[in-house]
Amino acid sequence: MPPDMEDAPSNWLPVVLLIIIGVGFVVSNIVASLIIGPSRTGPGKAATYESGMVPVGDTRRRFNVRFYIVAMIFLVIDVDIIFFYPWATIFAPVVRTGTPQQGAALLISLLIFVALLLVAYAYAWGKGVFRWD
Amino acid sequence: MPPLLEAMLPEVILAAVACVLLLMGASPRAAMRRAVPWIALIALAVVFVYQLGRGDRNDTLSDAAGTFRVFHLAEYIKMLAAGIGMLFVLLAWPNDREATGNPALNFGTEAGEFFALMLFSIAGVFLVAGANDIILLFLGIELASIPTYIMVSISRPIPAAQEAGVKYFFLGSMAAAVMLFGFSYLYGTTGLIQLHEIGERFRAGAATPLGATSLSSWQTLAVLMLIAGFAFKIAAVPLHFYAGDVYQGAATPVTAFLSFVPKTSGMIALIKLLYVAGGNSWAEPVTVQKLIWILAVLTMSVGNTLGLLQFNIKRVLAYSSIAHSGYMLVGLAALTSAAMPITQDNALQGVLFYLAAYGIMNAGAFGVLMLLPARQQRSWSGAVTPALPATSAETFEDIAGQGRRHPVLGLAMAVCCFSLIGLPLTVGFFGKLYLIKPALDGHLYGLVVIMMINAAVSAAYYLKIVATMFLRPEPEDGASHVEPAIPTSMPIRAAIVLSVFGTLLFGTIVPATQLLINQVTPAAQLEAPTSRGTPTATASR
Repeated sequence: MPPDMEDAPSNWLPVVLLIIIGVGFVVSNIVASLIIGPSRTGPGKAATYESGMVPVGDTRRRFNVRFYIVAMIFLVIDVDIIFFYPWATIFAPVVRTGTPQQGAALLISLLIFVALLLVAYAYAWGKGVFRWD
Repeated sequence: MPPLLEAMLPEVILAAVACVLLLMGASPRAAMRRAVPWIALIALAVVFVYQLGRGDRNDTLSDAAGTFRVFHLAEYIKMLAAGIGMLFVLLAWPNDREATGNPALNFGTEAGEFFALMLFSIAGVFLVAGANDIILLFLGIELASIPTYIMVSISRPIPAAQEAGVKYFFLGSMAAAVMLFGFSYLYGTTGLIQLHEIGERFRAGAATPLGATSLSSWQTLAVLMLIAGFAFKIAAVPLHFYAGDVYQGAATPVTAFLSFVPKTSGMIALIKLLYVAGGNSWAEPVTVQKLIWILAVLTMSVGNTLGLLQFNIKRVLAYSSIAHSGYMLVGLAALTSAAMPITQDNALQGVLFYLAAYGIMNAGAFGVLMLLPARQQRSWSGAVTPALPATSAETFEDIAGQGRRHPVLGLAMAVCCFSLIGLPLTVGFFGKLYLIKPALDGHLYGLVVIMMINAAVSAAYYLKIVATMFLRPEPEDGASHVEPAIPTSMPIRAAIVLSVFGTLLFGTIVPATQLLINQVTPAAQLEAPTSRGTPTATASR
């Protein structure tokens, strides 16, 4: 069998099933609520849902650009956490069973990674991202 | 030293220095920022010398997982990128606005970022050169490209630069998406991520042990999408549309950088892809051979034809850069079509030599433009507009008569232009010679004829630049009587001198040319000879 034929279609059956179930769930819910739900209209129904509060204005208003910059800084921390987790799952068994060198190498590689992200943080700080006046 | 660290030491040096530069750029003290270009220059010089010293190594550097495979090709590209990178640092040297009269050269408070991004981009080229893994290859290409998007945007405080940056970013992202799509199919059809393993799989599927590989249609699609993605990076037609606007919008030193660094990353990635698609040799399927042939013809012809029509010299040089990609694609066409291994080696050496020659001669042309001031322009409607702020010479009006006013600069430009045409006694002549010879050996006579015609066509616009500098009278419009003083930037002059000196040295002194060829000759080997063609050979360390 040629190498690119190794993935027989049947191997992908679970994925296809999952897609069908996912799409089907959405479609069936919408159709069911259209059919069996009561249909009342009015200003309260047409208003934007804002966590139960009375809406204060349009969504499409300007935000201060610093919110976006803070969101980007959040990404720095977020990426940290995303990589910490798989690292931690490897680190614990290595410390338990591996040599000290292996553990040290893992720890050092993570420290380098954190240091790199700290560079991004320090750079943002130096550029005045946290100055709010 | 751990093998992984040894394999990627130059990249680590550049990235670490770039991080330091970022922090220095954020410092409020001006003295810190003034040190930034020096540190960038020293870092590149250190890497250059380190790579020079590694020239005669004969073993493959590889880490335990086989993600890196650093052999002669990678060593040569690292040396080349670091060496030409030094020229770009000199060209982009920030200067005091008042001292130079040329604000295009001033990066102000963004000097730290600018040089850090430059180093990151060059480190990306290094990664591409050393990568033996489709993921690392993609990351390397993007590391070489993404900093250039930012460099274009921050290079000048005018809307044209912003427009160029945004245009470059969106089109570059699209190219990256196509490339990634191709990589995903390559992985999907083989289940492998290491380049040499994919090559071995393709080789195993070939009809004869040394014959052309027969790729399935999905694999061919993957290769085509990857070629499209890389063709964007080298600005090959029909993926060249961004080049004119982006090169014009960016400040001149950034344009010089764009015309070499992303192009090198794309070219090396293309070479690696062709090696893989040919099953760890150059025996490509006929589809790929024909595609490279067509790309080469289109890129040369369209690039040169459009170059004739431009009014802005940076645009001329942009289309010239497209045409030069086309010449290099001629080498790749010879590489994939030739049957003899010696011809294939010659073809790859020709491409690698041309990369070096193009890097050397191109930097000088941009350097001369940077030292000439912009003049006020008479637009199409007849209205006189003052010169844009933060602009060095851009149009033919700007350089008219400057060759007589500044004979040395004029001569430097003439040397660079003659070399770009490929006239004898310059390095460009040898570059074209080493591309044409293997193409002839590979019986690509039609391609050679088209290349010769293109070289003749390109002479028209290069000679127009030289003729404008020496023969055309200076414009008689009012303000041009008050000729802005010529900037006295030593780093830019040093870059021009180095570029012109290199162009002439490698073009006239045969031993010097031989020296460069000696660097290039082993670089035509992507892998250690012991592992060549033996499917079981793995990482040597």
